[in-house]
Amino acid sequence: MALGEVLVQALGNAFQPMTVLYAFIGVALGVTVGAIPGLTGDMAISILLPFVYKVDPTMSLGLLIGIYKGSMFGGSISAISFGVPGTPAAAATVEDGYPLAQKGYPKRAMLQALYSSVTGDFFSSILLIFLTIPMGQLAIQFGPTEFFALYVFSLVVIAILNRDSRTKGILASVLGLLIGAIGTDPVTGASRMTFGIKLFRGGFATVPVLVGTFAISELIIQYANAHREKVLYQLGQAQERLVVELNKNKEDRYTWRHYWDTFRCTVVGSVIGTFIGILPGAGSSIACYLSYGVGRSVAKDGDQFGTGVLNGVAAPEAGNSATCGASIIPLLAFGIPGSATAALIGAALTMQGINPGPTMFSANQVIIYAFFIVVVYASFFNLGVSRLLIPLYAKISKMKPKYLIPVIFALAILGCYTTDNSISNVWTLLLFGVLGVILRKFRIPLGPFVLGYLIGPAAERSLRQALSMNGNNPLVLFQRPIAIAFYIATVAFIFIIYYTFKKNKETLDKGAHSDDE
Amino acid sequence: MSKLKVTNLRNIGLSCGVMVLSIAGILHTFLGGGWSKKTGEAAKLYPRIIYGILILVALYLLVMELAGRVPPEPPAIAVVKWWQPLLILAVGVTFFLFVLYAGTAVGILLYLCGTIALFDEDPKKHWKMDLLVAVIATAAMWLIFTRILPIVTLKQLLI
Repeated sequence: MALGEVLVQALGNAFQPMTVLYAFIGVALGVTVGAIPGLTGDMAISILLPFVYKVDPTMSLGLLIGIYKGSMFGGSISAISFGVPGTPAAAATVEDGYPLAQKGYPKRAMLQALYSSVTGDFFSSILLIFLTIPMGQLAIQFGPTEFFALYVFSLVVIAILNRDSRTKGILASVLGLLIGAIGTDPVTGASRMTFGIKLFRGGFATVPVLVGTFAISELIIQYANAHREKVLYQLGQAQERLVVELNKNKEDRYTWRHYWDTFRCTVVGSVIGTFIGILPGAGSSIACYLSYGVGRSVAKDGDQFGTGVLNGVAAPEAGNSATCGASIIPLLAFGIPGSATAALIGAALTMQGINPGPTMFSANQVIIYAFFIVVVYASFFNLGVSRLLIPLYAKISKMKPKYLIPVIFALAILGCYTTDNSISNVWTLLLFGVLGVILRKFRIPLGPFVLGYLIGPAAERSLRQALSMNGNNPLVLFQRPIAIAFYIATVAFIFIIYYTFKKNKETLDKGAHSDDE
Repeated sequence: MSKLKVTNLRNIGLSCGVMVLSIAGILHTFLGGGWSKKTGEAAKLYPRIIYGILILVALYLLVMELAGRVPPEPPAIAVVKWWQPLLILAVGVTFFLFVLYAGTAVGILLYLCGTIALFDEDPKKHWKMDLLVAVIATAAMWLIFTRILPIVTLKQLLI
């Protein structure tokens, strides 16, 4: 099909009323979910996976990307209102957002977060459009050797970008590889690592693994939190959250002057967030802290970071939102998700028969271009919806979990069952929910675990194809120039990350334990 | 020999557990029991590599812990007690089986009433609102799972 024809069809798809509505709902839902501490965009997307596979691909992508974008900003609402980040990606926003709100400028802080968030998001969305197709065309030239080298690079990056402990990051991704190996051998179809257990025979279905690991494990933790609060309440020791109210201070305004003064930090955050987002496995929480640390060194009031300055809100918010579009780039170009959330979006595509990776550019051009258009207008929805509804979202963020947790849990169980009406999906869901809690207890990060599980089978297939095409000679893995370039990039990356983390250690250490607490 | 400075006992347990399970896994692939007997060597190579990497990583973590090179880690999700995940698991299984075999609407309603009351700080004070939310949520979910995304159930005794 000629490009002109593809673009016309894509425009038609992207501006269908239902697609626009789904994107709008996605953004509104994403901001809502992000604003409520304990709920994340990952959880919302994973719960919705069983529901979207029957919907048109462009509509479902609009909904999911809307949630992704909305939740990035949504986390800052509770971070600023009462000092608790709604999502891990907003953890750095608390550092200056909450003190600024306490000084009497909550609205200014939230609007700063919104505008920086949308700027970062828009920047990475544009790069998504211009980089994905050239990278996808490059990937078409890759053979199994190159793909294997790319998977090795991805797995190393996923593992060592873990702030808490790089050893545990490696452990997480290797555990994910092990889980992905259970079931059937991807080349011969032989049964493997089943240990006589029926549930293991076909391997684990992707949706229950993702929903269980992200959503159910988080719900178990939220249940434990709610139980503790109930006990404290009964003992008369419950503490009310100190919430900063909006609209109390007449001086609390946001003008274009504020946006311009913080533009440098917004740009820094956007660039860092985009770079981190493209890297497989690196999530928005790393981007937000790295952006905060670098923003502190470039801002004029960098020495006042932590006391409530706008630059301290601009940098991390631009950083975390810039990962949205950027994390989709490697997913579409190589089939390797740039973040756990992108992995969920990739799972949604796979459920609809679209395999993310270089082959989708020839088979699904219209959907790709429609998706690019939706990604751009979803950013504007985020701006419009959030700008109007900030006061409402600030109230929603105070919502108690007693209604939400049971409903979400029921939706997760029944939703997973409806994927293919298989009871084993529910057992897998609950099993991985408990496994997710165990991993978190040992501080083993979930992102690398899930990415290892998703990438593992493809990595093994590439390795065995590369070996069998070349007489099982292992040296063939190091003979192709692109493969060698990836191995060199892996080593270079390890050194760069080690140096960057060492320089920003103080800032990053503050956030090292913010996840899973 | 210098004194061992262990700061995170949990990591010691984790390392030892991973090493033991990985060694057992590798031996299983070589001894040829169960699934291993019927699977070819090419298919077994990949799990062996993974087990080998796990052993190395776990050993590294153990050595670093024993040498006191790992900074103290505050307990993660300390609020979660050991019985809570098991309780949630039991609730989930019971809820699902009830919905599947007894009745979709009744199962969801009973489950929601029970769990909302469990989470509520003062259920006697808020029972009206809790019941209202449970009924509305049940109606919405019944609609979704019987009309929009119908779940295949066995012969149900109730609705």
